Amino acid sequence: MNLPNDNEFASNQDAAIVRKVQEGDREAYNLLVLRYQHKVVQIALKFVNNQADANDIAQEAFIKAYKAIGNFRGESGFYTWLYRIVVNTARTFLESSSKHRNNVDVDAEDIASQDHQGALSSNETPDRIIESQELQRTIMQALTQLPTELRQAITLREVEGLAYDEIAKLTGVPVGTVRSRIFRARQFIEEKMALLDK
Amino acid sequence: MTKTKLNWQNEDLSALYDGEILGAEKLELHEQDKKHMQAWSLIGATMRNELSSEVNLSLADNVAAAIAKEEPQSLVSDQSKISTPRYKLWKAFHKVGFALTQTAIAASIAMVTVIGYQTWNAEDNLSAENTPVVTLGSVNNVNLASYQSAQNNNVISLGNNVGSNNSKMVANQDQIRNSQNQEMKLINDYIRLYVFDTASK
Repeated sequence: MNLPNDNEFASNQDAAIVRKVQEGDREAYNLLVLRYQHKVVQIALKFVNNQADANDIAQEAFIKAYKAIGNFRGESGFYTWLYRIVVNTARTFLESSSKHRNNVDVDAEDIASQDHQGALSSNETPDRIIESQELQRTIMQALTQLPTELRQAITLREVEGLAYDEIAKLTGVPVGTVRSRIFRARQFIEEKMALLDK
Repeated sequence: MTKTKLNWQNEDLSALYDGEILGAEKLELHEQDKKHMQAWSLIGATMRNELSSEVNLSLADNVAAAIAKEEPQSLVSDQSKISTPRYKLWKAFHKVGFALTQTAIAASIAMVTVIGYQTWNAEDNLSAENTPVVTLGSVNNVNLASYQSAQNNNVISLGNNVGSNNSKMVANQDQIRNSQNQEMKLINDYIRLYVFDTASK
């Protein structure tokens, strides 16, 4: 399992968002969830071979992280801190589910009907789950159709994790241009994604 | 921190998503803003090859909903934290009250014991072996035992020494009455003095 490297991620941007959350801005935490949700699910999938369990571990880890964010001092990057929480949550999940399996002595029908996720409660509303294969293909295809400067800008941002000013220095354009390019790249790909729903 | 609902221009929203622009005001996003951000999240994850075969698009919403549910509970637990010292104070008062009650009961028992002992002791002093005759001796030159002894000079005859002669008896009627009164006075004086003498010891 690859350990997180803070240099790979936008640590400075994370720190600013974390500060806002620590000041009581709950909505700002949503930005961190959106940014790291897929990565967190991937970590969870290293522990469980079930997508639903991985989603539950991810959800629980984000909730735990939110509760503990007041204690986050920024000595490491947010993702490194979050990573530890995810791993601990996954381990706890495995322990509780193995205990559950050992303790429960009922017929198969009962087992099937039980919520074997223990503390990781299920959601009230049904989850919107999509198959990602076609989506990934669409996104990658859209990327190739992007003008070079837009593709370069969004790649530096999303893959390299560079800040706008760093991209601006690297590409020799103003920060405003970087901002605009990244947005336009996203807008273009998003439009292609929307076609999938139709 | 003020809470203002901003109408994000999409370019600004994109910068906000990247954490590049964060104002002092509290963030509040429209549903449409969240949809954009969800799509951008998928784009980034695909580019970094982080996307699993199935994607739960409700994850962020579920986390937000769970956090929103947690916060009133936190408030309740804070209230219980506040009420805990009150409970402790009440317990302390209860303990002090209990201790005071115990002390009062102990003091009452001790008092009853002392009084009982003194009473028993006083009764003991009044027992046959320690009669006032022995312990107190005579009071005002009168010994109670002398009432029963005819040999004493200070015999109080209680009218028993009245002669058998009727004429004498009639003649001495007033004398006998005076003598009886005097005897009663002596007895009363003795009792009064005995009580006073006992009490003063």
